[in-house]
Amino acid sequence: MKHFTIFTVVLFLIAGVTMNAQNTVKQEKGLKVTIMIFSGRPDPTFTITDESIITKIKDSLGKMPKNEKFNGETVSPAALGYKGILVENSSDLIPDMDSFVVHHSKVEFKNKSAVKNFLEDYAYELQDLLVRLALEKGAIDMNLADHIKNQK
Amino acid sequence: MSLKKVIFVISLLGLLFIGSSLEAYDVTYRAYVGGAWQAWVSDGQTAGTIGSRLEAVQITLNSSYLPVDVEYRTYVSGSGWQAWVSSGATSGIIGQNKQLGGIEIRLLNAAAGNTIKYRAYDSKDGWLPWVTNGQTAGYATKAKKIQAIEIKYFQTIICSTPPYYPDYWNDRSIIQKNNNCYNYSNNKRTDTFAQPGRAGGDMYSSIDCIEVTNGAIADGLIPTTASEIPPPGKTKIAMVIWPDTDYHWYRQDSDGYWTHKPGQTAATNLDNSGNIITNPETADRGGYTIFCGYFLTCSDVNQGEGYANIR
Repeated sequence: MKHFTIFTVVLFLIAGVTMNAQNTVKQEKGLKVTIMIFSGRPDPTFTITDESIITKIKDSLGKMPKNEKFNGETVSPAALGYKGILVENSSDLIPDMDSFVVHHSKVEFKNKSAVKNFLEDYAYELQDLLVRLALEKGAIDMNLADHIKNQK
Repeated sequence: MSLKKVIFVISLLGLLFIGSSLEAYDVTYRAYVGGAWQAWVSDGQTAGTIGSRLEAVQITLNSSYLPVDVEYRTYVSGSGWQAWVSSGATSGIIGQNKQLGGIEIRLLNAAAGNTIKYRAYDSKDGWLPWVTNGQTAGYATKAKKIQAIEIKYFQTIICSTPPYYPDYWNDRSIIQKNNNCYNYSNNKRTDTFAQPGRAGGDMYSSIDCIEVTNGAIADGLIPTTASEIPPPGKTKIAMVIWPDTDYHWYRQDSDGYWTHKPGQTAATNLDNSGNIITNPETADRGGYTIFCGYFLTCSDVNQGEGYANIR
């Protein structure tokens, strides 16, 4: 009887730890956003976990036409100031996406197989959305938002 | 609390102590005297107590530059030379009232010119001469006993200026993402997005020339001027500020031109206008409008292998 009680308690403990671990993993899933703007200091980051926003980003990416003219290695310029926004995916909602970088209208999309595609976001909608979210999350202030908007 | 638990807690505290004490020194060591380990000492300090029995030692090396390690063995009175050990392991025999009669220490993976120097205190003759790199300190005979040791470690660093070779930094992976302008200008890969003053214990608290300069000086960088020709081997680097927002560093490569690595993007020899940088003071620096000054760093011809104390 005593052994059975101990066994039951241990079983519950293991189950509890497993459930907590699953919850932790679930909480971390989402889109990690890095505003690439600094040179010396670490860049501002935040995470998008809101499924409706993730779906919106997915839909936005899905509608973008390919940018066949772009022939660089990356849309992120090796320059001082705003260099683009890196979005890294750990969400199940965009299963084929590894990451993307958006710099104004140019989008560099990388899938899970590390294959890159360059897309065009003529209206800057994706960048504007991410900047707005960064402001809401307090990752950047208005000065940096203005810099992003005005930087060419 | 059981004895086993007490020993476990003490061991954990010991590990914490070792971990924190290794940061500041190159060679750190301690002696087992009178049934207990003494406190860790470093860089030429005395380990052991003159007049007491020295039964064992532990030695460890903390090199921020190279994968150097230290190997050592002791002569135990009545048992002879013990096996070579390394990286803080115990050499000697504890708990059998046996004393050390000699010690030999040598470096592993050390570049030419690096030296480990040590001496032993003989119970009758006092401090014996300094010996180096595997030589015997102490008489290593049954009749003679040593009671204390002192160890020093000398690194010979030869500074040199790197060429412009961005491929090393622009791997589009770990190196590029985790090394910033401060890493690049000092030519030292740390994968930590190094910050001025973090290693030197005086990290900037605001983004201005004075604060970031103080951090850089704490890391060992030496302020200089535009006109001063760097001493042989030293590399000139320059720091600029985006007011209240960020700082940025450039480096002068072996061809005399200036290059930089803006954050986690690629290293480049171009400024914001796409021009080769011949002078960081006049280059297009975007919002980094304030030019703070020049510094000297100890770099290396190999990319990522500079010697500056940055983290």
